[in-house]
Amino acid sequence: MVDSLHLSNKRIGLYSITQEIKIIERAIQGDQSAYRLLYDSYVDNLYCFLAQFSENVVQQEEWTQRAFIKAFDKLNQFKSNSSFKTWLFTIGLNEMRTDMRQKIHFEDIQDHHLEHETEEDVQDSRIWNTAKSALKKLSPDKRVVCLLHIAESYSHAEIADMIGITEGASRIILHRAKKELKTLVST
Amino acid sequence: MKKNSFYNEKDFPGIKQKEDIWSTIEPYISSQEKDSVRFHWNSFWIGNAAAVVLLFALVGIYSTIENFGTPSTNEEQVYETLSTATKKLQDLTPLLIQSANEQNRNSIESTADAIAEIDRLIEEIKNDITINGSSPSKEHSLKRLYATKLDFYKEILLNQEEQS
Repeated sequence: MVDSLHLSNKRIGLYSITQEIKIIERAIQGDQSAYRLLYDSYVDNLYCFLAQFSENVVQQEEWTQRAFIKAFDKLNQFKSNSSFKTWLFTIGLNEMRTDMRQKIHFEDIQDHHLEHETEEDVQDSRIWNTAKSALKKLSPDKRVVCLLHIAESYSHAEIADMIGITEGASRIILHRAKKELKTLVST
Repeated sequence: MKKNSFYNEKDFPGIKQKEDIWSTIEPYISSQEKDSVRFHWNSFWIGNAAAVVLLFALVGIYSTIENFGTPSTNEEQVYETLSTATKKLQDLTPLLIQSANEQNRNSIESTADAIAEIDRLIEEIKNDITINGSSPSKEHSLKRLYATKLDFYKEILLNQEEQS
Protein backbone atom coordinates (compact mmCIF):
# COMPACT_ATOMS: atom_id res chain seq x y z
CA MET A 1 0.00 0.00 0.00
CA VAL A 2 0.93 3.61 -0.34
CA ASP A 3 3.28 4.81 2.36
CA SER A 4 1.75 7.96 3.76
CA LEU A 5 4.92 8.86 5.69
CA HIS A 6 6.22 10.55 2.59
CA LEU A 7 3.21 12.80 2.07
CA SER A 8 4.23 16.20 0.87
CA ASN A 9 2.91 19.14 -1.06
CA LYS A 10 5.90 19.08 -3.42
CA ARG A 11 4.67 19.28 -6.99
CA ILE A 12 5.95 16.57 -9.31
CA GLY A 13 4.00 17.33 -12.45
CA LEU A 14 0.36 18.20 -12.81
CA TYR A 15 -0.35 17.05 -9.26
CA SER A 16 1.33 17.48 -5.89
CA ILE A 17 2.64 14.29 -4.26
CA THR A 18 -0.32 14.36 -1.85
CA GLN A 19 -2.80 14.60 -4.72
CA GLU A 20 -1.01 11.91 -6.69
CA ILE A 21 -1.10 9.54 -3.73
CA LYS A 22 -4.84 10.13 -3.36
CA ILE A 23 -5.33 9.37 -7.04
CA ILE A 24 -3.24 6.20 -6.73
CA GLU A 25 -5.22 5.08 -3.66
CA ARG A 26 -8.45 5.56 -5.60
CA ALA A 27 -7.07 3.57 -8.50
CA ILE A 28 -6.10 0.75 -6.12
CA GLN A 29 -9.71 0.79 -4.88
CA GLY A 30 -10.83 0.15 -8.45
CA ASP A 31 -11.58 3.62 -9.72
CA GLN A 32 -11.05 3.57 -13.47
CA SER A 33 -11.11 7.35 -13.77
CA ALA A 34 -8.10 7.54 -11.42
CA TYR A 35 -6.17 5.28 -13.79
CA ARG A 36 -7.10 7.61 -16.61
CA LEU A 37 -5.84 10.63 -14.66
CA LEU A 38 -2.50 8.89 -14.16
CA TYR A 39 -2.36 7.90 -17.81
CA ASP A 40 -3.15 11.41 -19.05
CA SER A 41 -0.51 12.86 -16.74
CA TYR A 42 2.39 10.74 -17.93
CA VAL A 43 1.67 9.30 -21.37
CA ASP A 44 3.25 12.21 -23.28
CA ASN A 45 6.47 12.14 -21.30
CA LEU A 46 6.90 8.38 -21.27
CA TYR A 47 6.10 8.05 -24.96
CA CYS A 48 8.57 10.82 -25.93
CA PHE A 49 11.27 9.25 -23.80
CA LEU A 50 10.80 5.76 -25.24
CA ALA A 51 10.50 7.16 -28.77
CA GLN A 52 14.18 8.11 -28.55
CA PHE A 53 15.07 4.40 -28.73
CA SER A 54 13.15 3.30 -31.80
CA GLU A 55 12.04 4.85 -35.06
CA ASN A 56 9.19 2.34 -35.21
CA VAL A 57 5.89 3.90 -34.05
CA VAL A 58 4.34 0.48 -33.35
CA GLN A 59 7.30 -0.37 -31.11
CA GLN A 60 7.05 2.99 -29.30
CA GLU A 61 3.34 2.45 -28.66
CA GLU A 62 3.91 -1.11 -27.49
CA TRP A 63 6.54 -0.11 -24.92
CA THR A 64 4.24 2.61 -23.63
CA GLN A 65 1.28 0.21 -23.37
CA ARG A 66 3.32 -2.46 -21.63
CA ALA A 67 4.74 0.06 -19.15
CA PHE A 68 1.29 1.34 -18.17
CA ILE A 69 -0.29 -2.12 -18.03
CA LYS A 70 2.48 -3.42 -15.74
CA ALA A 71 2.47 -0.27 -13.60
CA PHE A 72 -1.31 -0.43 -13.14
CA ASP A 73 -1.26 -4.17 -12.53
CA LYS A 74 1.28 -3.77 -9.72
CA LEU A 75 -0.06 -0.47 -8.42
CA ASN A 76 -0.70 -1.90 -4.96
CA GLN A 77 3.06 -2.54 -4.72
CA PHE A 78 3.87 1.10 -5.41
CA LYS A 79 5.78 2.81 -2.60
CA SER A 80 5.65 6.57 -2.42
CA ASN A 81 9.37 6.86 -1.64
CA SER A 82 9.63 7.58 -5.36
CA SER A 83 7.15 9.36 -7.59
CA PHE A 84 4.74 7.45 -9.81
CA LYS A 85 6.61 8.91 -12.79
CA THR A 86 9.93 7.44 -11.62
CA TRP A 87 8.26 4.09 -11.06
CA LEU A 88 6.56 4.16 -14.45
CA PHE A 89 9.77 5.19 -16.22
CA THR A 90 11.69 2.38 -14.51
CA ILE A 91 9.11 -0.13 -15.77
CA GLY A 92 9.14 1.45 -19.24
CA LEU A 93 12.93 1.30 -19.32
CA ASN A 94 12.88 -2.39 -18.37
CA GLU A 95 10.39 -3.14 -21.12
CA MET A 96 12.53 -1.33 -23.66
CA ARG A 97 15.74 -2.96 -22.41
CA THR A 98 14.15 -6.42 -22.57
CA ASP A 99 13.52 -5.93 -26.29
CA MET A 100 16.88 -4.26 -26.94
CA ARG A 101 19.02 -6.59 -24.85
CA GLN A 102 21.47 -7.11 -27.71
CA LYS A 103 21.78 -3.39 -28.35
CA ILE A 104 21.90 -1.90 -24.88
CA HIS A 105 24.64 -2.64 -22.42
CA PHE A 106 25.77 -0.65 -19.43
CA GLU A 107 29.52 -0.95 -19.02
CA ASP A 108 30.68 -2.08 -15.58
CA ILE A 109 32.31 1.16 -14.51
CA GLN A 110 33.91 1.32 -11.07
CA ASP A 111 33.50 4.46 -9.00
CA HIS A 112 37.29 5.07 -8.82
CA HIS A 113 37.30 5.68 -12.58
CA LEU A 114 35.50 8.91 -11.83
CA GLU A 115 38.75 10.46 -10.61
CA HIS A 116 40.14 10.25 -14.11
CA GLU A 117 37.11 11.87 -15.70
CA THR A 118 36.75 15.62 -15.38
CA GLU A 119 33.27 16.68 -14.36
CA GLU A 120 33.86 20.36 -14.97
CA ASP A 121 31.03 20.93 -17.40
CA VAL A 122 28.81 17.91 -16.95
CA GLN A 123 26.20 20.20 -15.39
CA ASP A 124 26.32 22.63 -18.30
CA SER A 125 23.05 21.98 -20.08
CA ARG A 126 23.56 24.50 -22.89
CA ILE A 127 25.14 21.89 -25.10
CA TRP A 128 21.92 19.86 -25.10
CA ASN A 129 19.99 22.56 -26.85
CA THR A 130 22.21 22.20 -29.92
CA ALA A 131 22.81 18.49 -29.63
CA LYS A 132 19.25 17.12 -29.58
CA SER A 133 19.47 15.97 -33.17
CA ALA A 134 22.75 14.15 -32.53
CA LEU A 135 21.36 12.34 -29.51
CA LYS A 136 20.10 9.38 -31.51
CA LYS A 137 23.63 8.73 -32.77
CA LEU A 138 24.79 7.94 -29.24
CA SER A 139 24.85 4.36 -28.03
CA PRO A 140 21.60 3.44 -26.20
CA ASP A 141 23.26 3.33 -22.75
CA LYS A 142 24.55 6.89 -23.15
CA ARG A 143 21.21 8.01 -24.58
CA VAL A 144 19.34 6.57 -21.57
CA VAL A 145 21.50 8.44 -19.07
CA CYS A 146 21.47 11.69 -21.09
CA LEU A 147 17.72 11.70 -21.44
CA LEU A 148 17.01 10.77 -17.83
CA HIS A 149 19.40 13.44 -16.53
CA ILE A 150 18.86 16.28 -18.98
CA ALA A 151 15.36 15.84 -20.35
CA GLU A 152 13.73 14.28 -17.28
CA SER A 153 15.87 16.02 -14.61
CA TYR A 154 16.69 12.90 -12.62
CA SER A 155 19.71 13.01 -10.31
CA HIS A 156 22.55 10.54 -10.78
CA ALA A 157 21.43 8.75 -7.61
CA GLU A 158 17.93 8.31 -9.07
CA ILE A 159 19.29 7.16 -12.43
CA ALA A 160 21.51 4.65 -10.63
CA ASP A 161 18.44 3.21 -8.87
CA MET A 162 16.38 3.15 -12.04
CA ILE A 163 18.85 1.29 -14.25
CA GLY A 164 20.86 -0.64 -11.69
CA ILE A 165 24.27 1.01 -12.01
CA THR A 166 26.32 3.04 -9.54
CA GLU A 167 25.92 6.79 -9.16
CA GLY A 168 29.54 7.23 -10.31
CA ALA A 169 28.90 5.14 -13.40
CA SER A 170 25.96 7.36 -14.27
CA ARG A 171 28.17 10.46 -14.00
CA ILE A 172 30.88 8.90 -16.16
CA ILE A 173 28.44 7.76 -18.84
CA LEU A 174 26.95 11.25 -18.99
CA HIS A 175 30.38 12.84 -19.20
CA ARG A 176 31.44 10.52 -22.02
CA ALA A 177 28.15 11.09 -23.82
CA LYS A 178 28.66 14.80 -23.65
CA LYS A 179 32.18 14.54 -25.08
CA GLU A 180 30.86 12.39 -27.90
CA LEU A 181 28.03 14.81 -28.58
CA LYS A 182 30.48 17.71 -28.77
CA THR A 183 32.42 15.84 -31.44
CA LEU A 184 29.24 14.90 -33.31
CA VAL A 185 27.97 18.47 -33.27
CA SER A 186 31.27 19.97 -34.40
CA THR A 187 31.76 17.58 -37.35
CA MET B 1 -0.46 19.88 -19.34
CA LYS B 2 2.84 21.64 -19.96
CA LYS B 3 4.94 19.69 -22.45
CA ASN B 4 8.57 18.76 -21.83
CA SER B 5 10.37 21.28 -24.04
CA PHE B 6 13.38 19.01 -24.51
CA TYR B 7 11.52 16.83 -26.98
CA ASN B 8 10.52 17.84 -30.49
CA GLU B 9 6.85 18.31 -31.34
CA LYS B 10 6.96 15.26 -33.63
CA ASP B 11 8.04 13.05 -30.71
CA PHE B 12 4.73 13.57 -28.88
CA PRO B 13 1.89 11.12 -29.46
CA GLY B 14 -1.18 12.50 -31.24
CA ILE B 15 -4.63 12.56 -29.59
CA LYS B 16 -5.83 9.56 -31.62
CA GLN B 17 -2.63 7.68 -30.89
CA LYS B 18 -3.07 8.28 -27.15
CA GLU B 19 -6.66 7.05 -27.33
CA ASP B 20 -5.49 3.95 -29.21
CA ILE B 21 -2.88 3.23 -26.55
CA TRP B 22 -5.48 3.79 -23.81
CA SER B 23 -7.95 1.45 -25.51
CA THR B 24 -5.34 -1.32 -25.22
CA ILE B 25 -4.66 -0.57 -21.56
CA GLU B 26 -8.30 -0.08 -20.49
CA PRO B 27 -9.45 -3.74 -20.69
CA TYR B 28 -6.71 -4.72 -18.20
CA ILE B 29 -7.98 -2.10 -15.75
CA SER B 30 -11.63 -3.03 -16.24
CA SER B 31 -10.90 -6.62 -15.30
CA GLN B 32 -9.17 -5.45 -12.12
CA GLU B 33 -12.03 -3.10 -11.32
CA LYS B 34 -14.88 -5.63 -11.51
CA ASP B 35 -13.92 -7.32 -8.27
CA SER B 36 -13.52 -4.18 -6.28
CA VAL B 37 -16.41 -1.92 -7.28
CA ARG B 38 -19.05 -3.58 -5.15
CA PHE B 39 -16.96 -3.61 -1.99
CA HIS B 40 -15.97 0.02 -2.03
CA TRP B 41 -19.28 1.77 -2.46
CA ASN B 42 -19.86 2.14 1.27
CA SER B 43 -16.33 3.27 2.02
CA PHE B 44 -16.63 5.76 -0.82
CA TRP B 45 -19.73 7.38 0.67
CA ILE B 46 -18.52 7.25 4.25
CA GLY B 47 -15.05 8.43 3.30
CA ASN B 48 -16.29 11.45 1.42
CA ALA B 49 -19.28 12.36 3.56
CA ALA B 50 -17.14 14.60 5.78
CA ALA B 51 -15.78 16.49 2.79
CA VAL B 52 -19.25 16.95 1.33
CA VAL B 53 -20.65 18.17 4.67
CA LEU B 54 -17.80 20.65 4.98
CA LEU B 55 -18.43 21.92 1.48
CA PHE B 56 -22.16 22.20 1.96
CA ALA B 57 -21.58 24.29 5.06
CA LEU B 58 -19.30 26.56 3.08
CA VAL B 59 -21.39 27.08 -0.02
CA GLY B 60 -24.71 27.35 1.77
CA ILE B 61 -26.81 24.30 2.23
CA TYR B 62 -30.02 26.15 1.37
CA SER B 63 -28.94 26.97 -2.16
CA THR B 64 -28.00 23.32 -2.59
CA ILE B 65 -31.31 22.00 -1.29
CA GLU B 66 -33.19 24.25 -3.70
CA ASN B 67 -31.60 22.35 -6.55
CA PHE B 68 -32.96 19.01 -5.39
CA GLY B 69 -36.40 19.69 -6.84
CA THR B 70 -35.82 19.55 -10.55
CA PRO B 71 -33.84 16.42 -11.44
CA SER B 72 -35.78 13.23 -11.94
CA THR B 73 -33.54 10.42 -10.63
CA ASN B 74 -31.41 9.95 -7.54
CA GLU B 75 -28.24 9.85 -9.62
CA GLU B 76 -29.10 13.12 -11.34
CA GLN B 77 -29.86 14.70 -7.97
CA VAL B 78 -26.44 13.68 -6.71
CA TYR B 79 -24.63 15.08 -9.77
CA GLU B 80 -26.71 18.25 -9.70
CA THR B 81 -25.85 18.79 -6.04
CA LEU B 82 -22.17 18.05 -6.56
CA SER B 83 -22.06 20.34 -9.59
CA THR B 84 -23.69 23.16 -7.62
CA ALA B 85 -21.29 22.74 -4.70
CA THR B 86 -18.20 22.61 -6.89
CA LYS B 87 -19.43 25.46 -9.10
CA LYS B 88 -19.65 27.72 -6.03
CA LEU B 89 -16.13 26.73 -5.04
CA GLN B 90 -14.95 27.32 -8.59
CA ASP B 91 -16.35 30.86 -8.38
CA LEU B 92 -14.48 31.31 -5.13
CA THR B 93 -11.09 30.17 -6.50
CA PRO B 94 -10.02 33.54 -8.07
CA LEU B 95 -10.71 35.23 -4.72
CA LEU B 96 -8.64 32.63 -2.90
CA ILE B 97 -5.80 33.08 -5.38
CA GLN B 98 -5.96 36.84 -4.95
CA SER B 99 -5.76 36.68 -1.16
CA ALA B 100 -3.10 33.94 -1.01
CA ASN B 101 0.59 34.57 -0.37
CA GLU B 102 3.04 33.88 -3.20
CA GLN B 103 3.80 30.27 -2.26
CA ASN B 104 0.14 29.36 -1.74
CA ARG B 105 -0.88 31.19 -4.91
CA ASN B 106 1.29 28.93 -7.07
CA SER B 107 -0.03 25.88 -5.27
CA ILE B 108 -3.68 26.97 -5.68
CA GLU B 109 -3.16 27.77 -9.34
CA SER B 110 -1.61 24.35 -9.96
CA THR B 111 -4.43 22.65 -8.08
CA ALA B 112 -6.93 24.63 -10.16
CA ASP B 113 -5.17 23.27 -13.29
CA ALA B 114 -5.53 19.75 -11.90
CA ILE B 115 -9.23 20.39 -11.24
CA ALA B 116 -9.63 21.59 -14.83
CA GLU B 117 -8.21 18.25 -16.01
CA ILE B 118 -10.73 16.43 -13.79
CA ASP B 119 -13.53 18.60 -15.24
CA ARG B 120 -12.44 17.54 -18.71
CA LEU B 121 -12.79 13.88 -17.75
CA ILE B 122 -16.17 14.51 -16.05
CA GLU B 123 -17.45 16.11 -19.25
CA GLU B 124 -16.04 13.22 -21.29
CA ILE B 125 -17.88 10.63 -19.19
CA LYS B 126 -21.11 12.70 -19.15
CA ASN B 127 -21.00 12.95 -22.93
CA ASP B 128 -20.35 9.23 -23.17
CA ILE B 129 -23.37 8.56 -20.92
CA THR B 130 -25.53 10.85 -23.08
CA ILE B 131 -24.46 9.12 -26.30
CA ASN B 132 -23.96 5.48 -25.25
CA GLY B 133 -26.03 5.25 -22.09
CA SER B 134 -25.04 4.77 -18.49
CA SER B 135 -23.36 1.80 -16.80
CA PRO B 136 -22.36 1.08 -13.17
CA SER B 137 -18.71 1.56 -14.14
CA LYS B 138 -19.35 4.98 -15.69
CA GLU B 139 -21.47 6.09 -12.69
CA HIS B 140 -18.72 4.90 -10.38
CA SER B 141 -16.06 6.81 -12.31
CA LEU B 142 -18.17 9.95 -12.34
CA LYS B 143 -18.71 9.89 -8.58
CA ARG B 144 -15.04 9.21 -7.99
CA LEU B 145 -14.06 12.15 -10.15
CA TYR B 146 -16.37 14.43 -8.20
CA ALA B 147 -14.89 13.07 -4.97
CA THR B 148 -11.35 13.78 -6.24
CA LYS B 149 -12.43 17.26 -7.23
CA LEU B 150 -13.91 17.89 -3.77
CA ASP B 151 -10.70 16.63 -2.19
CA PHE B 152 -8.68 19.09 -4.23
CA TYR B 153 -10.96 21.96 -3.22
CA LYS B 154 -10.61 20.84 0.38
CA GLU B 155 -6.83 21.03 -0.05
CA ILE B 156 -7.11 24.60 -1.37
CA LEU B 157 -9.32 25.61 1.57
CA LEU B 158 -7.11 23.99 4.17
CA ASN B 159 -3.98 25.59 2.67
CA GLN B 160 -5.73 28.91 2.92
CA GLU B 161 -6.62 28.20 6.55
CA GLU B 162 -2.96 27.40 7.35
CA GLN B 163 -1.88 30.66 5.78
CA SER B 164 -4.27 32.74 7.85
